[in-house]
Amino acid sequence: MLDGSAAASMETGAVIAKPVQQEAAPAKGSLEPAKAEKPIFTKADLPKPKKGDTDKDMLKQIANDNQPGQTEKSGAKEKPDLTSQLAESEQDYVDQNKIKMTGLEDRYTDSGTKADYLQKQIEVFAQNSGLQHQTIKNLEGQSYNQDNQKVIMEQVQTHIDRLFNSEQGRLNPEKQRMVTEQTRRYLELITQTQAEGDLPQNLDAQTVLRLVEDNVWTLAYQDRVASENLLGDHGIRHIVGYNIQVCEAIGDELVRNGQQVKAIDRLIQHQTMIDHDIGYATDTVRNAINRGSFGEDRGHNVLSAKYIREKINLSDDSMKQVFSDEQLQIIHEGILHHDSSEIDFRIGDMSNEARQDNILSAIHIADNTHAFEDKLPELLYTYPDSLRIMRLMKTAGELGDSEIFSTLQGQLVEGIQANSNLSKDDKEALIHASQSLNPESYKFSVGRICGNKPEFALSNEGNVTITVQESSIHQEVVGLYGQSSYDQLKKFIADLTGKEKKDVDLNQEHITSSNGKLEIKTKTGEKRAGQQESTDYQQRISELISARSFQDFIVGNGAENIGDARLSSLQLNLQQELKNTPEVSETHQQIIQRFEQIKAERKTNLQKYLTEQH
Amino acid sequence: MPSTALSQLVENKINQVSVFKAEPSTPENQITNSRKAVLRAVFNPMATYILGNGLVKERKVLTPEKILQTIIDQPVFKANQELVDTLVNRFGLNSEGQIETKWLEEEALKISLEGNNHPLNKLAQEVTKQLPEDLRRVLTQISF
Repeated sequence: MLDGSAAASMETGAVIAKPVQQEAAPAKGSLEPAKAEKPIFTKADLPKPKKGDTDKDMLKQIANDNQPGQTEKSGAKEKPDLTSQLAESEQDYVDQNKIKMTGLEDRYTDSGTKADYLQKQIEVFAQNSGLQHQTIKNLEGQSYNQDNQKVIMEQVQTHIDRLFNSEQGRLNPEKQRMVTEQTRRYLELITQTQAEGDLPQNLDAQTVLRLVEDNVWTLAYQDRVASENLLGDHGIRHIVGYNIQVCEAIGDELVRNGQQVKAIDRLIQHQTMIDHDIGYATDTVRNAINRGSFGEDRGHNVLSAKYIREKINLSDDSMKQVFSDEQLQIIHEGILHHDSSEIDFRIGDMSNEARQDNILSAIHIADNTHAFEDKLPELLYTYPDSLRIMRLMKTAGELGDSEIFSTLQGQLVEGIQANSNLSKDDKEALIHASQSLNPESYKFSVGRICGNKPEFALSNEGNVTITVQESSIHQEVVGLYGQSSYDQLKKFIADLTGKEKKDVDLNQEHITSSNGKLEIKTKTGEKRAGQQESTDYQQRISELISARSFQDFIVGNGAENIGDARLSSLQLNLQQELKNTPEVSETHQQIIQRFEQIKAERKTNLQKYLTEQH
Repeated sequence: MPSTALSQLVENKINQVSVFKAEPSTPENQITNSRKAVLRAVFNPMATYILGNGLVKERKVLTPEKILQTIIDQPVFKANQELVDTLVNRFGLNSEGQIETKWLEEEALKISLEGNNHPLNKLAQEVTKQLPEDLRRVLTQISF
């Protein structure tokens, strides 16, 4: 929980607020322009300390400097406007990455990644569920406060319910709960931020409603797009269920160590996370991934950052009306570099700079460590039998049998269609995902770490320890589809430890960064998560492994059938050995003959298993 | 021990031995890794049996020789004396001192070609047949 009051904040000197005349653009023509106090949050605004200055002297100087009109009168050098600054940092990102991220420049300038285009898509998506922004009479002309917070929450709840748990949207009570809790927390944070002086007291209530509705729509849209493909999760579980939760947990750790964490810091993290992966949902990336052109999601960060920059310039944008330029700048920075490995937690340092470092470090840790959890595509969560079918598809693929492969794909689609727990929209998305399956969708990988509920602890020196319990179920299975997530995690650890990515061994019980700022501990063996801690999804997988017919297919019956897993390794080995054997040799002929025998044996076993299943 | 912990233990044990542990996935390592995958596929049932029945102390490194020796010492496999003799003779398991495990890499092609006729495949099948339900589940989990 947050522990902060305006008074306490003033004493620490962490709040530096100056009155600014803010012209709030009316939402749907219903708002009166609001006069608001806007906070400052940049190092540039701090005065240069003179020798012998105490903190109080500094505060006094800040207060004097922040008198209305002071900056203008003093003839201070004019800073470039916000949009130009944000665009410049995006361009830097593109310039630095355009060689290793093929096509990034084109994606960045593509009209499909423009904010007005994407915004329209999000609106149409919400309209398809019968939703639109509404002006609430009770909120008209009202400043946001604890009383109308309830009215706003009730109104937004109808959107959440419609989008996440209704026939007109998705049927997913778990996501409905997560977004409800996150939205409630977001509204509480706005209230606390006002109390701490970092958002204006006269914040327009209708604008706040518009902002949270936008957020809910944006979350729902991203979740829908993420369900269509087999990338690691970029939907609600990732954004709300993991990243935001981790930021909050790290915030609590900072507070436990006596470091100031203000409500605005947490609010910035919520907003950053809500928008950080929106780049994946742009048509440019979405269509490329859906047609199997993987790799075109690289640099999605800058597309997300671009979206925010352009969005805040749209005439009716609510985010611009709520957050100050400085706050928006941090949100933009958090989005643009959300997968950075820079970790620099500051304890006992009450400066704005320290708080900003803490905000960003938490964002980096959160986004880089989701691979420790079950970051799986929606298809696997919602329809766990897809895992079994993918395993069978692997066999069909290795046999080169497109007929069996298509049959399996058909079975998967039939199963999804017949599932009464799915809405029409759920089914559409999952069927789309199932059609992008290929034999490579399943990849065997031994010894991967995958965990439950990573725990975060900070020392009073700002060093962070992440303790990960290995998943109670089949870590290979859980890690299978998160190849890129593991890459990201490995890169993160490699950057921190000064190792090559290929040399990072995730099976080690302790990994410590070279600067000692980060330690990752894994609880393995007896200390790993128990069965009672497994999720519903994990239990379903456990059932699959327990099915005798599936066991027989995979490991054999101990007699003639030696099991598909071993046959697969024999077949793949022969494929490799063939390349190393002279074509005219006897061994070459033996290999070819045996290779065909193994394929025939595997096909017979697969058909037998499928027949038994029917 | 919960089955999930056991599956991890088996994998950790197997990966402690260089002849089993996969090399980084590069084009040059493809053949080595495919051979190692064959060896793991054959030895996984045995390692599961040994660790699942507490036949070795956890600290012991499970070399291929140690695995084979432990398995063939089990009364339940005595019926297959011919197989045991073949293994002992073929791989010199009774010889003293450190045994060079390089032979196993060369054996991978033979295992692949001979299938059920190869003594290691035969032994793996014998062991799989003897696995109780909970250990079969662990093996499925590992092999999945």
